[in-house]
Order: sequence, then C-alpha cells, then structure tokens
Amino acid sequence: MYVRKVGDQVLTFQVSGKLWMRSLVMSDVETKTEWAHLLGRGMAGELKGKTLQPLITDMVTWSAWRKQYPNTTVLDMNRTSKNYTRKYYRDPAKFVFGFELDGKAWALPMQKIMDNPVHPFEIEGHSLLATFDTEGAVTRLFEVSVDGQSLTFAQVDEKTMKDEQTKSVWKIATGEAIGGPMNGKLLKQRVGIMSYRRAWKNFHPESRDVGF
Amino acid sequence: MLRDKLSGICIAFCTGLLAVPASAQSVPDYAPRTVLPIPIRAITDPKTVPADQADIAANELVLGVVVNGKARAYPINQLTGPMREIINDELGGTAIAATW
Repeated sequence: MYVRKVGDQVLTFQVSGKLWMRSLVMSDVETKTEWAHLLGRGMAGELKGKTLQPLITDMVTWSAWRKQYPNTTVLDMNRTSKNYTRKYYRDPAKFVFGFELDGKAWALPMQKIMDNPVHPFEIEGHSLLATFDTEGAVTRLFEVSVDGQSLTFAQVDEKTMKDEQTKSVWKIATGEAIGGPMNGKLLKQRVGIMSYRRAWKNFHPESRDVGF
Repeated sequence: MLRDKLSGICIAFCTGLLAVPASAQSVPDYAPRTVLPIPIRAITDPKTVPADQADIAANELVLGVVVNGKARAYPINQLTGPMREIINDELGGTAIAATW
C-alpha cells in the first residue's frame, strides 16, 4: 500500500499487463512508468529510480481490524476469490514478514514469530519489537522507544506483554498500553509486509533473517 | 555571476556525491514478461461502506490502513485477479494505492 504521489504529481496506477519475477508490474496512467509492486520503485520510464512512500499496512483478519478500528470503512466490490481467510497461512514456513532498515532488507520467519509472539530484537543498533496476534493472524513491527525511553518487552499471556522499565501492561495486538504508568501510550509501528519467502528473496536477494 | 556558476557546479557536484540511493541494496535486473497486450483500465473512486454494512466473514483477511486517523479495510478476496490488484483511492485527504 502506497501514497500514489511522486513530488507534487498524483499518479493513477493500473495493472500493466507485465509480470516481473511472477509479481505484479504496475504502470501509471500519467507517465507510463513501470513500477515493481513489491519494491514500490520505478523500473522503466520517466520516473525510473523514484520510490513510492509505503504506508503502514496490516494484513489482518476482519474481526481483529474491526475491533481495533470500529469506525473503519471497507471496500465494497464483489469477491474475486474466497481463499484469503486465516487458512491462507496453513503453511507458515512459506511466509516471512519483510521490512527494510537503513536501506537493508530483513525477514522475520512467520513460524518463528508465531512461536515467539513477543520478540524484541536488535539489528544494526536499532531496538525493535515484532509481535504476532493470534486472533488477527497478524505480524507487526514496532519501535520500542516511548517519550525517549527505550523499553524491553516480555510476554505476560496470550494477549498482553509488559515492559521491564515501567511495568506497564500492553496489548500485543495493537502495541497500546492498557495499564501502568504508560497507560494510553501507543508504540510507533513500522512498515513491513507479509510475503512469500520466495518472492521476498527474489526482490531482496541480500535479505537476512532476524535471529530468534 | 561567477558565484552563481560556482554554486551551480557545487550543487551538481555535491548532490551527485551526497545523493543517497532510496535503497542501499542492489535491485535485481528488470526483466519483465508481457502477459497481457494492453494495461487493464485503472480502478478509481471505489465504493466503500461503513463496517456494519460490510458483508465480510470474521476470518477473512483484509489489508488495513490508517491515514490521518481514517481507517479503511480492503478485503483481499476483493483484490485478487488481474482485473483488480490495484485500487486508486483517497483516504484522510491522501491519494493512496491499495495493491495486492
């Protein structure tokens, strides 16, 4: 999911009719530039080399999304598939949650984050937190710094975690503090995407797995 | 005049030196394969409804996004197939593309 804008120019994207490494190539109506979907990057044409700003996007069950955002609106088109329920993840070994940090690609293996639903980790000097929410079947990536204080998280039960520094209680699903001194605070979420491992590796050949 | 020229050179030179690529990683060679002779017509101004009017099962996967406090869900079962895959939309005053 992207902001469809480069500089001041708003772009309208269409399915180009081309595939690259079995993945969608988009083209924009305004400049005919071809864009790699998974990279958000102009690959050929006037805007070659430009990148689109990705938006924080959750791939999540409808029930969990609606619970978190009761005022959400929903796209209303007819269905083109019935396959995309939580059963889509029946083989978690095939999936990774991919993200970029300082221009480098990283992958969280889905099976490992499911087995360790609160996973603080450090890479290249950044402290981050990955979570897996069972109801939403969703992996999320957060920063652990709140008001300048770096927090260390550990799981309490299926739905909550606690930070060592303030002993506040947080929802695993949303990164929201629901008790303790941090009550009401929200962890800052970062961009990442659930992807087939094969596709992520094709587009990010230098990607490394986050350790567990 | 000279100063303008020098600063022009400096801008060209310095930005060349300092330009940080959007991604430090190498991008694979672009070698697309044409599968459809012409592009599919872009989808714009999609219809959306409030949550209580949506006919979506609890366990269906959606792509959820929040822009300027406005939340929207795109059920993946409505996004698949070459006739869809990209929805040009507006949310929270921002032009966005929901993609699958």
